[in-house]
Amino acid sequence: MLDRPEGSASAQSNRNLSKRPCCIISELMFDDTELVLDGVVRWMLTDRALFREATRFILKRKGDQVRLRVLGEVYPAVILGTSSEGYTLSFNTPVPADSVEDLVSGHLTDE
Amino acid sequence: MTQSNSRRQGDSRATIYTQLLKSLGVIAALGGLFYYQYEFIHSAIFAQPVLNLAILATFGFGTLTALISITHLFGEDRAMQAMKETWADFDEMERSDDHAGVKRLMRTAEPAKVFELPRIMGPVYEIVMSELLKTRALRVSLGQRNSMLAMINEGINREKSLVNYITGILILMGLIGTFIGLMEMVASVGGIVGGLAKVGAGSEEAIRNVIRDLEAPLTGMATGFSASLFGLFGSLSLGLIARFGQSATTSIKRDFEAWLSRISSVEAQGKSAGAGVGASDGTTLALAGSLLGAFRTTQGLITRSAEVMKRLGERQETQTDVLTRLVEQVETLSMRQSHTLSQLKRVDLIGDVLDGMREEAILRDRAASNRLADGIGRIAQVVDESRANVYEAVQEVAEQQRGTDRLARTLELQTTRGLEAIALELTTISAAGNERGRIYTEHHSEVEKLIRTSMRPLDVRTIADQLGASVDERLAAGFGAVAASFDESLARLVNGLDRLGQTQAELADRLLAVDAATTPAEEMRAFGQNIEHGIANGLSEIARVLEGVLAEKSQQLRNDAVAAQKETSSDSSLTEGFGVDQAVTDAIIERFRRKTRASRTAP
Repeated sequence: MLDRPEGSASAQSNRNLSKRPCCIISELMFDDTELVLDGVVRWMLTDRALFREATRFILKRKGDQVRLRVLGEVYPAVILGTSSEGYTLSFNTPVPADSVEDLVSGHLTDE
Repeated sequence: MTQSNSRRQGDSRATIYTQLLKSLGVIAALGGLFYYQYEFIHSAIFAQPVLNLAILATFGFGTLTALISITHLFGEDRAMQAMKETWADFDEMERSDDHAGVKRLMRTAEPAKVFELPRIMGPVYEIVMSELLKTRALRVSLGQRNSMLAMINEGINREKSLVNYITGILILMGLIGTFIGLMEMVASVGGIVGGLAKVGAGSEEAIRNVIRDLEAPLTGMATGFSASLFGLFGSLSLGLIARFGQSATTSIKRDFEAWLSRISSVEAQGKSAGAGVGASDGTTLALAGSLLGAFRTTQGLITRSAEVMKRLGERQETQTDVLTRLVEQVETLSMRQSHTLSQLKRVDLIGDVLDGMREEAILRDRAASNRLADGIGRIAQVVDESRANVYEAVQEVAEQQRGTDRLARTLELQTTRGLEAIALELTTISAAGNERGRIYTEHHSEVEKLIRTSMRPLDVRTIADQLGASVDERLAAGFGAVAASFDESLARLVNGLDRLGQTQAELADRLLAVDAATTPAEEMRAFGQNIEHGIANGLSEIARVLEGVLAEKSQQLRNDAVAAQKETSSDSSLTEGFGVDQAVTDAIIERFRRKTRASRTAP
């Protein structure tokens, strides 16, 4: 699943990026409840990301307004869905491709 | 403790499985009974098919609801396991001094189990997880504990209320069938008794009629019995299934209560001496633990309040400094505004000066124009004078030329006359020669000498040269006068032009100076640019100062928030994702890579 190529027709720059498996320690902050979940980002594109909470049990969420904090940078997003891999996030504002490349390339889990 | 938790988690899940299997066993037994007594049940159902099928459908709906409620308990169990796991993680992180939570983060390499927000444990889950994730600890007071247990009880009652209602509905429907059957029976018995009274009880026909009419009350009895049978049996069966579900729910509730009491006890034992409480039984110990936890929470709150007040005081000092800086900046701004105002006043003065200079320029322009006209008039006068001088010189040259002509003619005339006089003299001499021939002979040598002298040719060329030289001299003198007059005129003309050029250059310089110095548009534009530049600098300075103040303020608030958050999380510091050590990140990434390699090498 993590190696699945990007097939959505979202951002133009995403065509040059792929869901490369990475491990970026991050936090997911919920705007309404001020809840903060710790975990890692498993892949990241300019408009989407997969956040895996650091627990064996994940509460199913959808449509929650959140903020993803990655290495000090905060990206507002909304939860698209929940799977056993984690929360799929959709960024409210696309993240620059250079930033995504810098973040992902420094934390790749595939050699 | 982790093993104990796992065992307890397994017990809870096993209890749910057990109760679910029991419920399914009840349903299977009902199915077997239906199969075994098919004929009887079939006839019973069709004694009053509408009502009995309605009862069976209600029973089926209740059973399905009960089974779904039991399966939902797995979600409740997962929610509770999530709470237990999170608390155990943070407890272990605190005890093992693993503030980064490496072990916790390592779980992200494995697929998770997704569960929906449970109906019964949902509110408690949100409260507990919020407290755990914010403070990395769980301090539950006695009131909070009772409140959470009340929430769970409320959820349990809400879940079982529908099944209990359906159970009652089944009994009601059975009673309704019973009443319907009784009414049919009573009505038919009344008809039988009435028939016997008319015909007579002893006749054979009356007996046949009674036997025939007894079918109706028996049918009514069948209706009543069948409805009562299905209603009561369905209610009992559904009640049994609900009881199994209740047992599973109760097991989860007890599990949660035990966990809550245990962590309260652990908190109390870890933070205070609980020797006196240790002798009590479990409930007293849990109560004492809760009380100690509440006391500790209160103490911590008081301590945090004091710290917060202290920080507020420090923050107040910082705010005072910031406000002082702001006041200084405002004063600076006021000074700059005063400076700008003075500059504006200077602009007004400059405007007045510009008006004066403009008027002066106009006057100078007029004066220059007058001078120019004067110079041009002078030049014209000089040119006229020069022209007159040249004319006079030309006339003088012409006069001299005429004099030269007259001189030449006079010279020619004189030469002619001289030659004639010479010829006459020669004639006279010739006449006298004869005379003198005679005398020649006498004075031969003298005469001969005289003749040779007389016969010597006249040096006309020399005379002409001398005449030419004289003419040249006079012409030269005349032309020199003309040339001198020309030169003088030209010199005066050149001088006049030079003076005109100098006047024009001076005028042009003055005009340029006036233009350069008194161009209102350019000067006003330049002044406007200066004002704009000054205002822009001032606004930029203000914005920079305000940004600095706001940034400092936000940083201070952020620091306070972080400090407060650290304070509320007991001694353990919050491990922010971006604050995790690089070694931890590398370790987790290496773990992911090992997992990836293992998955690739696996067949």
